[in-house]
Amino acid sequence: MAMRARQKIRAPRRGLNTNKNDDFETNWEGLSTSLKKIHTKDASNLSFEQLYRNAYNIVLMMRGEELYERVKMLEQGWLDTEVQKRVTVAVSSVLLQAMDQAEIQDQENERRDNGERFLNVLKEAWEDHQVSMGMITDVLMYMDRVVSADHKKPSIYVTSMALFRDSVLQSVVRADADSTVADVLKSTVLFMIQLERSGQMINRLLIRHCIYMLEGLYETITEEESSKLYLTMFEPAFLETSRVFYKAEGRRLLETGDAATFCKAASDRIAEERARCTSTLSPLSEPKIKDVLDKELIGSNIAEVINLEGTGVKNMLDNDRTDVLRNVYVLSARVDSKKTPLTAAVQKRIVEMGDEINKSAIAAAQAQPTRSAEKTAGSGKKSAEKPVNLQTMSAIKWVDDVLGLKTKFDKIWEESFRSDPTMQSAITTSFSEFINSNTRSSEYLSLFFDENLKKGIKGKTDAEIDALLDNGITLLRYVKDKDLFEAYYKKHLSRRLLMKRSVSMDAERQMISKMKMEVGNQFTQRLESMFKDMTVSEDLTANYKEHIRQAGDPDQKPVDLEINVLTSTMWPMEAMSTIKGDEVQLPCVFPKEIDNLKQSFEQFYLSKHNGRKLSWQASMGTADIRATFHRSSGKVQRHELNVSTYAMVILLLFNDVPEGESLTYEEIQARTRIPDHDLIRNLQSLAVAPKTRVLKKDPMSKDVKPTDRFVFNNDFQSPFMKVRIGVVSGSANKVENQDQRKETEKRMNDERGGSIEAAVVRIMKQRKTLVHSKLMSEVLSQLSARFVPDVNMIKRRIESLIDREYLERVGEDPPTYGYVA
Amino acid sequence: MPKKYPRKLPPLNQTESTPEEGDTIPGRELLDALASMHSDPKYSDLTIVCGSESHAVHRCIVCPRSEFFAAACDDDFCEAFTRVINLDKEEPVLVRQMIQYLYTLDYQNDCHVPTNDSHRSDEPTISEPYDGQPPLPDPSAHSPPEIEGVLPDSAQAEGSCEPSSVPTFNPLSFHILMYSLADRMLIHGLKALSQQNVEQELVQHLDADMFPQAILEIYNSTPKSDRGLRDVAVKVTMGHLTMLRKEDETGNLIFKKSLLESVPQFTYDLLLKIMNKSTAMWDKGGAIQRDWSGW
Repeated sequence: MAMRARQKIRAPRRGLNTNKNDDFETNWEGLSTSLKKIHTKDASNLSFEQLYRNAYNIVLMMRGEELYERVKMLEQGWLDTEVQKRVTVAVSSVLLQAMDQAEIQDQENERRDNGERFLNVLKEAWEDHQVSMGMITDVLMYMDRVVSADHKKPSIYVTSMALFRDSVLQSVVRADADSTVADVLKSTVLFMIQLERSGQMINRLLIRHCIYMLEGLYETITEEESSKLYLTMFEPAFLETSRVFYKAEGRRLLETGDAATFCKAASDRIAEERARCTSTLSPLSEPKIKDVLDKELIGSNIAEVINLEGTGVKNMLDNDRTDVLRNVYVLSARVDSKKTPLTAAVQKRIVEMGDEINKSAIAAAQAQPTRSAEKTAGSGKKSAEKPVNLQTMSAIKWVDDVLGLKTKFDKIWEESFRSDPTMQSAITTSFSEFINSNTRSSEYLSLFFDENLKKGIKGKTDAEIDALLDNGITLLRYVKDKDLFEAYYKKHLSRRLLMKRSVSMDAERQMISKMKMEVGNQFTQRLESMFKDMTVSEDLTANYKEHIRQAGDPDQKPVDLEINVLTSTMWPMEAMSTIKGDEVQLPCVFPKEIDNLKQSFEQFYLSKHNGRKLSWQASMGTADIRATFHRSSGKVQRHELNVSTYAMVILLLFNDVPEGESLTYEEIQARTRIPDHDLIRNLQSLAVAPKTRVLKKDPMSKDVKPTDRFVFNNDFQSPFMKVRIGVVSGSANKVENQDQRKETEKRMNDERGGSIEAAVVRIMKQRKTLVHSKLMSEVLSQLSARFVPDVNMIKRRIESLIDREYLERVGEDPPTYGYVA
Repeated sequence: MPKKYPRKLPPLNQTESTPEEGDTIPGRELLDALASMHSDPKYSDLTIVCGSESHAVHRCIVCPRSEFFAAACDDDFCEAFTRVINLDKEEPVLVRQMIQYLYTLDYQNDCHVPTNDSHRSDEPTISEPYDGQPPLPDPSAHSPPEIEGVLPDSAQAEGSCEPSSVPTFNPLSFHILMYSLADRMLIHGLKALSQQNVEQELVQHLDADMFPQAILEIYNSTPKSDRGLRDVAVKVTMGHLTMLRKEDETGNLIFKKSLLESVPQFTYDLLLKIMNKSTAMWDKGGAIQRDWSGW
């Protein structure tokens, strides 16, 4: 509008305009010659000031737009003739022919040489154009400001770049061919990349420069990021050829049949493609080529690689190939955050290896009865002891094996799986699975602690003990039936405490506090009260001694008493007493001296704690007695014997038996009322065990029969002054046999029933009414810390509570219960 | 004495500086250091030549302020090799003051033109009016007979301090030409400063000689796309229209019709402004008639 207005006003002075035109032409004349010189790199004699002034003058004449068009035409002409010719000449026939074929082996070198020559020419043409246009744009700076601002035209630089795109890149190579320079460029670069992928060296920098050109040119004059020629013209073809290549590469690598090779090659390819994007192509492509690799090379093959027979993950795990596993992990993590095939393979292997450990433990357990049966038939009872110990050893071996497996997988998890939480929970699940599939895991684990606290930690440093206990605690974490473990631990602990078999009380306490941290306060309460009973008993013993001293009892032969008073609800009484079934067992008859002592203590104790009942557990005690042996030679030999309380009772009988006379088994039993089971075992250790034969048995045999006769053995020989006479297989903690096992399970079930009822009542008291399914899930969640309750058992308990009118049914659909206050 | 004009910054005392308290602030320190480099050949890495004058300057000062100088130094033209930029087509006194501005953020209206004006024959761009009717005096070389009598006081005072043979600029022309130079050299700060000066000076010299000459110079010295001075011209004219169009006793007036004829672009700008203003007033529903038919 402004322009038209000017024209009209100036119309009367046309005559002057011709003069102005001359001026325009003069200015343009100088300018155009110089612009050409700039293109031919002959500008060092030109004065910038002069050229700038020429352009400025033209703009001042209000003919900037004309200047713009003239420059555009000049550039077009230059590109069409000079530059385009220079570039197309460099396109050899090899390059043209090769365009459609992916690979031409015999012409490879020729194509490569020609390609490099062509790329060089193109690169130079582009760089020259950029430099020249930079200078020309500076000369036309004033014009650009006025023309671009007034007429919304792109700057002359942008326009000239678009001209380069149209006149050079998109020009056909030959008059008779369809291919453009850009097509040749694309196929040549792709060819070079192919060469590099097959292991040859290529001129990366040269390609990078040509890619710079494609990144600097746009489809549109507005130059949006997404219209970069690199993205529209080159990248799709690059990604497509890559897809094809990596699909084939994946098959080829799989055919080698070696997972390690595949992973190594894949990792290398990933690094290679990333490097290619930075050094040869454009960083813009990095995420896209990553996707191609993840999909074609890794995603579609990784599951197969992981499960490759003989070289897959199973093999790597077995051989601790942490480096290769790390590769597998890294590759899996790229394509799948859950790493499904890898976790599946790892889990499968853990369960397999765990099952093997379980199986060998069970095999050891089952081997025992058959073997001992054979041996009992042959050589009597003595040999039965060994397999039993073997079985305990196999329980401990089971724990060691599981810990070994755990250590192995911990290491793999840390080193190969980069401490990935997903992998950790998968591994934990699998460990838990196979550990709990072994019904004896709780017992085995408790035996493991027992063994270590009795012997294993001897001579170990605090740190080592700590690590050892921690290992055990780790396994405890996997055990679902924690109540069962508690039962066994209590049983084993009680023996350790009463028999003073613990190596270190510090270690015992440490163990308790570790369990408290891991499983909770409730769990360790009863265990702690066992410790408390022990300490209280120590004081009690001391007080009693003091009481006796003060009483000044005239007894000539005072008996020292060391007593442990145990709270019956906290200690596993059932495990300690020998009462079987409903059979009523009369208490053991103590010799007079001992009975006096017993009464004296009871008097002392009940005077302090009125209303309590003391029941004596003779089977759990020990005694030190002094024995005098009269040799036939007339010499007298004295020994101090450390024996069980029962053995003491038996031996004291012989004080009243005249020299050389004997007592039958039945007589002994009648006088002492020691239960058969204990009596047989004690007589075995006193009369059968070769080193501690204080009694002689007639007839001499391994078994003890009711008709056997026993006589005091004055010829007893021992190199030691003090002789410890253990009870045969009585005091050691070991794996339960089938019957014991059944009993423990029964007890456990009763206890669980109680826990379930308590939980149900607790919940219902709070909720008043609750739907069946909700009640079930709350009970399950409350008890899961201790054990996994059987659903049927819960149902039965609910029924029972309804029968006993603690609960009532208040609805049928859905079934709902109400609390009866 | 060169006349001083209000500046954005307090004047730099270039002769005998008595350090004041305020001189020690850091910003001052930098400005003083810059000013001290002015015309100091030490560290100089570029020479600007104009007529007989040659200025040793520093690329690091000159180039960041002017895309023209930056391009001249960076591109592979002869200036980059010789490190000399020849501005022979420009007025030496303007170039001198432009350089002063680059170092001190200010320039003086230096009314003295060097006696050697042989280059004047090359007709500086700015003195190339495309509308020559009626011929107006060359703004860069005032022809004394027409103007001498009506030179503003300041110009006269300046004139009196030099022999009358030395050609002088009136201050208004000087600022207009400085603006044109700044536009050409792409020095934006100097453009803004000189535009401010033009406006102040123009308001003070609304007389029959200076006004038409200034309008002509403004419209001849910059391309149409540059609104800076053109807007100033229209604004001042509109602001003083009554005074400009009022006839004195002799029947003369400042804003003659001939000016509208000789500078059509000015006429166009002015008309546009008047139309916009009138319609705006009608829209407000004022007392003025809604059409011009009754005028």
